[in-house]
Order: sequence, then C-alpha cells, then structure tokens
Amino acid sequence: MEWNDSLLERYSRQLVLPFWDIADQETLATKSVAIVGLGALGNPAALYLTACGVGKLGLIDQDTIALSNLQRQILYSTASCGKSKINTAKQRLNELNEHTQIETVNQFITQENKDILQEYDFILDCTDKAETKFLLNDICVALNKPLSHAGVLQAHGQVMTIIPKKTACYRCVFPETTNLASLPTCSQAGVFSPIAGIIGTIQATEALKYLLTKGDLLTNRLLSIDILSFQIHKLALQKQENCICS
Amino acid sequence: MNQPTKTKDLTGIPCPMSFVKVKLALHEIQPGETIQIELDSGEVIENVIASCDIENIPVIAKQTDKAKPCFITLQKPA
Repeated sequence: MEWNDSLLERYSRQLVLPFWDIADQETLATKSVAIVGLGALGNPAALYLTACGVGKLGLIDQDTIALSNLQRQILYSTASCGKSKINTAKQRLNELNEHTQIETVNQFITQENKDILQEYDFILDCTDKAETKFLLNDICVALNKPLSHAGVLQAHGQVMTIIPKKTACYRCVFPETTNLASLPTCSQAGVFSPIAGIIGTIQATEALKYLLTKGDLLTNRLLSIDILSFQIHKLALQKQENCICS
Repeated sequence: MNQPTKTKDLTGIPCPMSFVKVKLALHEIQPGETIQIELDSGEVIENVIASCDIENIPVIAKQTDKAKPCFITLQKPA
C-alpha cells in the first residue's frame, strides 16, 4: 500500500486506535466482503465497511429502490427511486471512499450461482427472507465461508457469526419451518429503522474483527436486541452434531 | 546509547496526525531497529509519548525541553 498524506488523514481516526496499526489497514485493503441484500441491513454495513477501507465489496441484489425503502435504507434518496439498488449503492459508496473497489452482482443468490461467493473473504447475510437465510447458511457451510447472519423486525434485531465447521450455524439454532412464507416480513410487521442501522453496523463490525483477527466474535452466541426496552441478550448456542455443518 | 537506525522529522505536524505518522515511521523499520523522531514541543510530544505508552511502544530516549529541539527515540518491538 502506497501511503500518502491523504490516505493517512482519511484513516487517521482508526490508525490512532491502540488496537489498529498501519499493518492492519494494509491487510484490510487486501480483503473482500460480499453483502447479500442491499436493504436495511446491507446499507449501513456497506457504508461502514467502505468507510473503514475494506479492499473490495461485492453488492449482491436484484431489487430496485422503492419509496417505502427510504425510511431505513439510508444509502438511497428520493431521486433514486425506481433505480437499481446495487448501482445506486455503488455510486454512493464510491463517493464516500474511492479506494474501496465495489463490484455489483445483479442476481439473487441461488444454489446454481453460489460460486459467486467463492472469491470473498467474509459474507454478510443482509437478506429479509427466511428461506434465503437457510440457503445462504447452507452455501457458506459448503464453501467454508465465514458468515454473519442477521435479521430485524419491528424493534427487534438479532445477529450471530458463523465459522463453518467450527461454530454453530443457522440450522444449529433454528429449525426450518415447513411454511417459511407465513413468517412476517418488514412490509407486514413493520420495522423501527434504527434497529436496522444497529444490527447492520454490528455485521460490519464482525466482518472487520474477523478479517483483522481482533476482539471476540459473536460465534456460538446469538445477540438479541430490542430497542424499545433496550433488553439485550446474548444467547449461548451449541453446535449440533447432527447438523449439516458438522 | 547507539545511534538510532533512522531519523524522521515530524515537526509542524499537529495531533493526531503526529502519532499516525509515528506509527507509519515505526511500520517502515524492522523489528528491533530504532528511530529518532523530531516533534513539536508541548502537547504534541506529550500526547505521542502517552500514546506510545498505551501501545507498549518502548520510548528509549526523549527530549521534551521546549528550549531545545524535541525528539523521542523509539524501538520497534521484536
């Protein structure tokens, strides 16, 4: 990494951290994160990862921006309604930090195209459908990719980090229901937007900690936050022996 | 004391960039090597010394008397 005054100034507030060194910043610039879903969780996650100087972000989504998204999807604007989420996000993120390479994938992740995730060092599940969360979990276990799972609904959010084969995965924790379509979505139940910012930012935090080997990851733990009551729980999880991740 | 391996002039650089550039200077030398860094007197050099202490960066010499050029000599941990 060629250091100049501009780069030093840009990252100065993290370079002075006692747990963050020049070598860490250089390492981060070589790392890549895939963000699956550029909605309420993906937006803050993408912002903080870009701001901190991750080398490459993959933005994976096929949606366009709706007016109802703007209440919580803070990368977008009124003028961008109707436009592609990933293209709009890329433009905004480039304006924030031109040193982070932004790649866009205009697809939803499926079993057939799962190799899209192969090139990334860490995966963020920022999707809003239960069946996609199970799918992403299974794909990351198969590809041996570390994954941050998260979900938000109303004033509640949850987040955990999954290191395949080593820590509890999504299926270790949640039995797959037979009627996933019956589970409420944000459009039905609503979402108190700050919880999306909080949880998405925690996902970015977990990615940074994993990539730089700092702190303690939210592995074998499910962090649950309710921002109306500010009840915060860390539920201990156990990797199940008869799970696909074993 | 032996002559430092390298020297660096960071006078005129205010906080916090002064410590950022100290970290960069340390990054550019080898473990075990030493570097003498000239800094502005007063708050700048005091803050840098305090930050080095927090990060367990050995300050093996220092001159903080405002009447003279101020410097610190650091050794990069092995």
